[in-house]
Parts: sequence; C-alpha cells; structure tokens
Amino acid sequence: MNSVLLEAFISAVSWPNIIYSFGAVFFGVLMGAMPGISGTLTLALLIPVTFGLPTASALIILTASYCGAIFGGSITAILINTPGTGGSAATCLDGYPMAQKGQANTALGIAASSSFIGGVIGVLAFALFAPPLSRLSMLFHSPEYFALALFGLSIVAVTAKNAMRKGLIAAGLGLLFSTVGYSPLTGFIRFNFGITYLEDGIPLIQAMIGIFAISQALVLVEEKGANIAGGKIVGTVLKGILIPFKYPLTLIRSILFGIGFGALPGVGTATANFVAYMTANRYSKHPETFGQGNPEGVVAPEAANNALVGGALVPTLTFGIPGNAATALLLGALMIHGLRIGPALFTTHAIITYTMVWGLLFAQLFMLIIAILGANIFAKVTLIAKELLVPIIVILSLIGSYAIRGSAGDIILAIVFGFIGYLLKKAGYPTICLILGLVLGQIAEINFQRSLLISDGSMAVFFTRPISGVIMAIIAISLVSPAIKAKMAERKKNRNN
Amino acid sequence: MKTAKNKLLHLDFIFPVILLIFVSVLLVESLSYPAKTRQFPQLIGGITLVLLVWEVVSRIIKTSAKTKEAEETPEEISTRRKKFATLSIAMGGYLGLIFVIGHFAASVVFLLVTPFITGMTLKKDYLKVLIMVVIMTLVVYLLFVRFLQVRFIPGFLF
Repeated sequence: MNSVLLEAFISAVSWPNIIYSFGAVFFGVLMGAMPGISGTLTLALLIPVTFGLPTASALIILTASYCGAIFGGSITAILINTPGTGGSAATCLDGYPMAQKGQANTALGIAASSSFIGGVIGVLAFALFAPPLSRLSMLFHSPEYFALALFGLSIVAVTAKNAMRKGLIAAGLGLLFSTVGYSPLTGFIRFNFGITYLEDGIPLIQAMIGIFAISQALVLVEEKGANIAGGKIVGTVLKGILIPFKYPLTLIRSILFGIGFGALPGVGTATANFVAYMTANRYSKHPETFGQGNPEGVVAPEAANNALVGGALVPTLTFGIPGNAATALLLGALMIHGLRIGPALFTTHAIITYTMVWGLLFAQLFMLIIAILGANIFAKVTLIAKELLVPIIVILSLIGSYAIRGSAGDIILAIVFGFIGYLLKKAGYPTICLILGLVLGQIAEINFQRSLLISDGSMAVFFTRPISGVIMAIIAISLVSPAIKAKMAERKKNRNN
Repeated sequence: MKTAKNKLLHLDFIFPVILLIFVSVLLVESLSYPAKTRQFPQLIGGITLVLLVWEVVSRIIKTSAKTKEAEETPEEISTRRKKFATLSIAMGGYLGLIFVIGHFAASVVFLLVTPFITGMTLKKDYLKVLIMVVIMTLVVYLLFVRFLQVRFIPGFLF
C-alpha cells in the first residue's frame, strides 16, 4: 500500500501534472467567479481538453478545476453578494456584510482557509473511508431523503429567528416555485399558465442569480455611499486565514456535513452549504450577529462546500452512482479513459486513483496560494464606484443566466426573480428561506411521494425506519430546543432577580 | 431635519396581500390537477396561505397601532426611488433592445448608458466609464463568445 501511495505521489508531483493541477485550479477559480458558470460547467468545458492526456492527468485537471470553481464562486459571493455557483449561496450571508465593513480581504482569507481545511479533510475521508462511507450512503432511501429535506427546511425556524412567520412564508413560496413544471411522479405539468418556458420548471441557478445578483444591483443603486466597502479596506488576509482555527467545532461539524451530504447522491452542494451555515448559527455563542458579518458564518459554508468534493467522490467511484452533476461528468470521463468503476479503482487502478487523491490535495494548496496572493486584488472590487459596479453585475448575471441554456427566457426569469428578491428584502422576508425552499422542494416532494408509495400511504414510514426516525427526532429536538432554552433562560433570570 | 412618514409599513401590508392573492391563484389552479399531482403543492400552498392570512391580519393591527418616522428625508427618498426606477427601466430597455440590436450590442449599450443615468457625470467620469466598457466588452467577448461559444441572440447590429 505504501509503495502505491509513494508511486502515486511521485506521479502527482511530476511534470506536467503539477502544472496541470495549478492551471486547472486557476481556471476553475476564474470560471467559478462568473455568475452562472458552475463547477459542473467548468468540468464539462475541460473534458474534451483531457481526451488526449494520460488518465491520471485528466483526473487531476477535472477534479482540480471543480475545486477551484467552488472557491471561485465564493469570491463574488463575498465581494458583490452574488454567488458564482449555487454551492456558495450561503457564503453571501455573512461574507458580503464583511465586505461592506471593508473586510473583504479578511472574508476571502477565511473562505480560502476554510475551503482548504474542508477540501483536504474531505479528500482524506474519501481516500481512507470510501468503502464504509459508501455502504452507509446506500442505507438512505426515499424516507431518509425526505427526512433530510425536512431537516434542511427546519433550518428556516432558526434562520428567521425574529421573523419566523415571514421565513416560513418565504420557504413556502420557494417550495411552491419548485413545483412549477412537470410533476416528478405523474409527469403532469403544473402552474405553467400556458407558458411553454415554465414546463421544465423554474431553473434553480437562474432564479438564484436573480434573487442574489439582480436584487443586489437594485439595492446597491439606491443605497447611500460611493462604493460597497465605504471608502476603505481595513481587513487583512492573514487575519482571515487564521480565523477558522478559532472555531474548531464549527469547522469539524461543517466538514462532516460536507462529506455526508456529498456522499448522498442528489442532495447537492447548496443544501450542504446552507445546512452547515444554519447549524453554525444555531450553535454559535453569538447567533444574533449572523447575517451582519460574523466570520463564523463564512467558515461554516466554505468548509462544507469544499469537503463535499471528497464526499461526492465516494458513491461515484465505489458504486458508479454520482453524488452530483459534476461527479456524473467525472464518471463519464473515467469511462472514456477506460477505467472500471468499483473496488477495482482501489486495487487494479490504485495508482491512478491515488494520483488523483494527491492531485486533489495539491489543488487545495494551490487554491489557498491563489487566494492569498489574490485576496487584496479581488477586494479592490468593493472600492469600485457603485454606478460602475451595478451595470457590471447586471450584465455578467444576465449573460451568465443566458449562457447556461442559451434561452432568452432565462434572462427574463432572472430579472423577475431579481424583483421578487428585492421586494422580499424590502418587506423584511429572509430571501435565504425562499432559496432553501427552491433547493429542497424537488427532493422533498419526490421522496415524500415515493415513501408514501412504498408504505401504501402510511406516514409511519418516516418514523419507523431507524435512520429517518433519528433524523425526525433531531428535527423535533432542534425545533423545540430554542423555545426550551429561552424558557430556561427566562426562569434563571427571574430566579436571579 | 425634515422627515417623512415611513412608507415601509404600507409595503409590509401590501406585499403579503399580493402574495396571498398569488398563492390563492395557485391553489385554485391546482384543483384541476390529478390527486397525486396536486397533493404536495396543495399541502404547501395551504400552509403558506394560513401564514399569509395571519401576517396580513397582524399587519393591519400593527399598522393602525403605530406609525414610524423614517430616517430619510423626503429628498433622499425621492432620489432613492428615482435611481431604483431608472435601473428598472434600464433593465427593461436592455431586454427589449436585445431583440432589436442583438444581445451583445445591447449589453455594450447597457454598460455605456447605465453609469450615467444612475449618477455619473459625462464631463467628469467619461474616461472611467469608457475603460469599464472596453474591459467588460472584452471579457464578455473573449469568455462567452470565443471560449464558451455562447450563441447570443442576434440583432441587426451583432
């Protein structure tokens, strides 16, 4: 085993693999920073480039670019409140307020450091625990997936602490929007009102671009102040790099979420990102500062979304079941290169697999270096005059929306959701809840219906199966515990008085 | 300092009413769907509707109970609204222009015009705007047209 690891290491550090890794990360960061260009699209763009390369080099390029794209998505999330990829959406919530305080470079440092730690542990988890993790993921069926979706939605209760009703309304709207188009169970078209474009449903990325970027442009244009940072940048990158170490529990918890959610096919990066953020909020010593530029609110989603890369490789490489769209593409690339998916990857093709693992570890390092070197330059975006920044945001977002499918309808949809997001913000409804509903809607509905089919319509299926039962219990506890805590605190206060 | 009555309270009321109508329309529409198709949207829509009714009622009570003084002066509110309206109209114009002069050309026009209509002055800031337009046009062209080979909606210009 040691000789395989050594041979793989030598292959990973050899010329030109190391250059491929750096180049792919750099390319991924640039692509990820463009609204609408996801990690999946970045990977898809690079697949044809890798056809003529040795298998190990191809895998290094593909996985490294994907990691870079996920981090790239966080750059715009922090600087202009516009996530480059869906997996960086939760990073906006505290990253952007930090940028508004002139701490964009600190926030970028936190994102880089957390992504690095999350990415490294995620990859190591894949390398060390792939077989048991994949067996565990196979225990999840429809009732468990529904319970997980419900767990994600229960987060609404925490997110909208002071506006629980508004949060639930926004989540309800998100869930309703997710039901537009073909019913996943019957194929019947719903709520399209005769508009052909809506038959395929509301595209998530385009809607998110609208809610985050277009609404942000509308908010920015009417805000006072010459630029986002208020005239100066006061943070430092180094400070940001060290911050994640102040929150070890948040870091570990978020990484576990990332690996776990990654190992579950179809759950998605955005879900892991949000769940990690909300859980950090729930257990934080200062939950009241979340959403106002709390560094812990950047640590959690960033650690989770990069740890997810390692997690998503588990079912992909052990069973051939891709964890998400990006790993589905990776799977295709593996097959093109003639690799057999399954245990053979860790025996017959062990050198190639472990070369990829080393390559991924180096990719995390390169990502950190690019972030450290670039953070101060990237942060300057927050000093650009708003009148110049607003058209840039609008144009990149709308072209990004269009570029995904080449549909003019996507531009209109992004603008419509931009106004919806703007109105929600103005009326005090947490937009994050709308997004959470949109993200989890389909997962919740399809698994709810499937579970009822399995159980002949009995809801008991969600409580009698061990894993879904445990998740349901966690949901119940997490919903009730804030009220109990508040009650106990009140009693303590009364006793002291 | 002169202050204005905060209109946000009105938005607080109007917005949930609009949502209430929207969700009601969806629920009525769902009645025509097969049972299994409408089960989930009706469940969610029903819960959301109840919450919205609750929200509207509580807003009526709160709005009649208190009015807030805004931190902004009427001039500031007017400027803010003007800028918001200008950008909204500019985005609408951009959307229309896409189908006339083409997506790429419309994007260049939007980049060129928006800074000036949202607050920059032609005399002082023209160079900054010009530099931004050149850089962004290059980025859009190289990344989307050349590299990603996105086929923009054609018009009579490009």
